[in-house]
Amino acid sequence: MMHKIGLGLLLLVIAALAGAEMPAIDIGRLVDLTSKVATANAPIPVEREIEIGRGLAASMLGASPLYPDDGLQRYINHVGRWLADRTERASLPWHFAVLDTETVNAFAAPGGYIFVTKGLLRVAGSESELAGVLAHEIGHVLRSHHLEAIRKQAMAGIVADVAGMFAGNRGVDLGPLIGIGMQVYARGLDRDDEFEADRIGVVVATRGGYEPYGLPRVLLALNAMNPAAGNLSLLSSTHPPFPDRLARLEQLMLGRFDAYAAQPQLAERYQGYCRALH
Amino acid sequence: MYARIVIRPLAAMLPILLAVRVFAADFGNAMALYQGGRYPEAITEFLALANGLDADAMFILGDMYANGQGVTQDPVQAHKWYNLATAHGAKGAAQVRDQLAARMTAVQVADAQGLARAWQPGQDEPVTEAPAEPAPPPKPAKAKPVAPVKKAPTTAEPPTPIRSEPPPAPIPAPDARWAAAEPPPATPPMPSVPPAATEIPTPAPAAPPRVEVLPPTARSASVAVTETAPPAVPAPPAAQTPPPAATTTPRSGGFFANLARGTTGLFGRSPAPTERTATATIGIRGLSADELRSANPNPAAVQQMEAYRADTVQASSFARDAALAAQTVEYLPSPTPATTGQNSYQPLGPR
Repeated sequence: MMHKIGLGLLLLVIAALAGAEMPAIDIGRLVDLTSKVATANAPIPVEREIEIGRGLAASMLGASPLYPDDGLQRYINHVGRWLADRTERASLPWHFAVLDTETVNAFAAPGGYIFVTKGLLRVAGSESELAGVLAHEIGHVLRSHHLEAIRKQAMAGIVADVAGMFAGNRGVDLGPLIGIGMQVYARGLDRDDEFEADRIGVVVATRGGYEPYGLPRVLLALNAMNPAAGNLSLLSSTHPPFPDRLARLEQLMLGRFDAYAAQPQLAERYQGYCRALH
Repeated sequence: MYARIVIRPLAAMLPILLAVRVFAADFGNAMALYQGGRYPEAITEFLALANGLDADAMFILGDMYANGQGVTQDPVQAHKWYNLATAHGAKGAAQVRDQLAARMTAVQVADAQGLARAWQPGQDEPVTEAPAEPAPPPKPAKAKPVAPVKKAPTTAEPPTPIRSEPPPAPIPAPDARWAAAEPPPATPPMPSVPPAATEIPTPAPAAPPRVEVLPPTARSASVAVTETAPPAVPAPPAAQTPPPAATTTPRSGGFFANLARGTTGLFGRSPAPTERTATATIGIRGLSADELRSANPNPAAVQQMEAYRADTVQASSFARDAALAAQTVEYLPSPTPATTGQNSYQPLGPR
């Protein structure tokens, strides 16, 4: 009690020192800070995750159109689905799409919406390399990297009813979360998330029966490209440097994947679909 | 907190008694800076507010230390601020503090409690925005992976900058290590965009002193590959002299680079297509960060995307066509920060 009185007195003095510029109490902020704790660890219903992912997919496809080739779109859905079925989240409604842009990149949205650009398909040279890229993106979904990044950012911000958004409440406008999610794509995930997705990517591709080194091969090819090229700038600015990613994969993969080294790369099947990229 | 509402009218009378205004920080302004990712400025504001016993500011200072936002990630400091926030009435701060404490050693918690007890308003001078330390190296954001917590907040050594933040200045910096091998759980949600667009990556710097823990394992593993690998697997780096082809991929070395130069496909393809792509598309802006931020949703395209979906049966059939056989492979372990933080592709490359 004495402590509280003392504190009150101290506050009084401090407030006096602050004078008239003392800010008014922001009740909304207090509510935010309170719900922040409750929201931080609550599980997010998978339906809400898919809903958020679908919203992000819509914005992604607003930024870049689908590549107009049904055969190619079905092809990467076959490869992607085969890989996703090898994971603990096979029950998600996985969707894959090729974006019609020369930008070299790939994106994952919660709920299993995965995008790879035409520019990246040009860099890859075999189905095992495509599999490595898709499996990296699948890894982001498996570990909810984007979802958690969005939740973290939403909680730090002044978004109303963050708790309701993530709890799956009906009739909630998810627009603010989609906006935050697009910011995440623009600014990148935490680098440890990327390293983790790399680790998952090589494993899931190998589970799919592909040669294990598809993802490293793509990283090598990207590393050999001119980093100043405009089509690589977004990828470079949102991911750890390629040599660092290669070094970490190398350290983990050495000696562990020998048994799978002879698995197919399927360069011909891949190029059959990608040769005509325009 | 509500005490402040009550005392505000009274507050107007008191400045007469005290000529000096200690602080005039504004919580709203501080939050705006924080949410805008302007952490160094935000921390200055929050420290000033904390000196005014603002419990929420203390709470957020705890977050910033827990997440390494504008400061070196430091669980001890984070615990101190959560503890102070709790003591000053911030709702939920105790819970966050206890969650953090569960991941700290007893010594760390004791340190943090001692710091909290010893804390007095005004002891933490606001962080100056222009650190007196040497200027950061030219490529702070891209240079090397950051071992999130291991590094003490020393002056920034050129090869291993801690993101692009200024050093954490006058705040007492105790032992900044997390308990056990558990990786730090929280990292900044939105690292500032590195100035990568126009930069040319330089070769990774030579191995810093701490790298000594790495090569022995890696080397012995690669030797094992030599002895047991089927012919299709390229020779490991340890058995090779630096290959002349290194000029094609000047920024890479190591096992994978040898893989790329092997006979299994990549070398035959890689240089031509990638260089063609690189030169052909320089100047093409492509999908930019701004376009992502300002994209208008296209729900019709999502429906089209969803129409391409393949089910398990189709995917399995497609895999069978190419004789792909599913394998059981365990996920790779998450390396501890101590063994990855200083890793760089260059030092592990062929010598």
